[in-house]
Amino acid sequence: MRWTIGISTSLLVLWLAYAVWPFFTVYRLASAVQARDVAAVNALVDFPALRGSLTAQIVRTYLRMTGKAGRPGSILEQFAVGIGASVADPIVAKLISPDALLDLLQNGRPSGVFSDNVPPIEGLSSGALGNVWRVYANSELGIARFFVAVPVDKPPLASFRLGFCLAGWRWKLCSAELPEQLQLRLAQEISKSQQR
Amino acid sequence: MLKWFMSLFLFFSIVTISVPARPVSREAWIISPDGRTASVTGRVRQPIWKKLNPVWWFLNDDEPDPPDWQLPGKPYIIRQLSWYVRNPLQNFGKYVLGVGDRNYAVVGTKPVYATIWSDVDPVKTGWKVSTIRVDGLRLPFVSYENEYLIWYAGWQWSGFFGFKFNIKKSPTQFW
Repeated sequence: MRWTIGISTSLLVLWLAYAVWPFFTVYRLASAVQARDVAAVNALVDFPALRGSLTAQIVRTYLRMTGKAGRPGSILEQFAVGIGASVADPIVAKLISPDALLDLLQNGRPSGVFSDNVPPIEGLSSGALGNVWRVYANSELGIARFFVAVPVDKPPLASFRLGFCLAGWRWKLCSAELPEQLQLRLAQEISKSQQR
Repeated sequence: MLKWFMSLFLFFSIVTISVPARPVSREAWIISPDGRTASVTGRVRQPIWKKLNPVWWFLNDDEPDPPDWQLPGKPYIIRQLSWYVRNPLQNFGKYVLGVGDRNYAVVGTKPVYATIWSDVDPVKTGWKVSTIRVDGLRLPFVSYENEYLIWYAGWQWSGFFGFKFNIKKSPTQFW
């Protein structure tokens, strides 16, 4: 009986520690973005994974916008995304430079990406996170995965859904689902670059 | 016995968390104009110590997140666990038995990049075969589909090793 209680308590404590752990990374990232601390952002972002996430998302929006998308999840759609990745590459390469990424997360206006002057979008900051309870309510935890939607008071289509991955004992930003409006703007930018 | 199992499980789980993320591969496919041959380049090999980790076998490095249609509205952890139960041993099938981290050429029934006829639009029925050629090995794949059933076995064009036997419209499905 003592063993059972001991093991159950240990597992509960371990799970609680695991559940709290990624929140520290979220707050550190928010502070780094707000302070425009490039070194800290570099340490908290898995750039290759983030690049993959942004590319797939922007290409899907572009294909949908131009009517070239196949059935969602189909082989044809996967191939179309693979081929479209080369079209989106120049824009995504600009997006994931540290300075542009800071702009993207902070106000949705990455420097040197948009040809027109676009209005800002509220992004990641201490204010956008609100209190711990609001962040918790807007987060989801899985096995080596953590997601949080920011700003916490915006509907899903108008918020960033940031994904964090656990590898090498560190949580890092590895995916970012952009607000619908921003996805469309980026897809339009690809469209313009194709017409030039 | 249970203590040993739990200790090993804990040990391999810690090893899984400790390993750094694998470099993202820049996989590129080239498909012949007739659709019968495809070749892949740019894949990054999985380290051997990952392939020897039984906990890692049960994870899914390539699709760790469940798709939107997997138990929508449920908490993420439930959706993720059910995703792993629905598609078990993905890393094992792709990287231990499979050749998902190797560059190779695959030759087979057109279009070679479709595993079963249901993946093709418009849907067809019948046999579909392919062979992966890697390091002098020939890894076969065969699938069959008609209006009542789908089955397949072997190394799919993507390098994944798997098998399936589904009776269409039946509540009981065999993986």
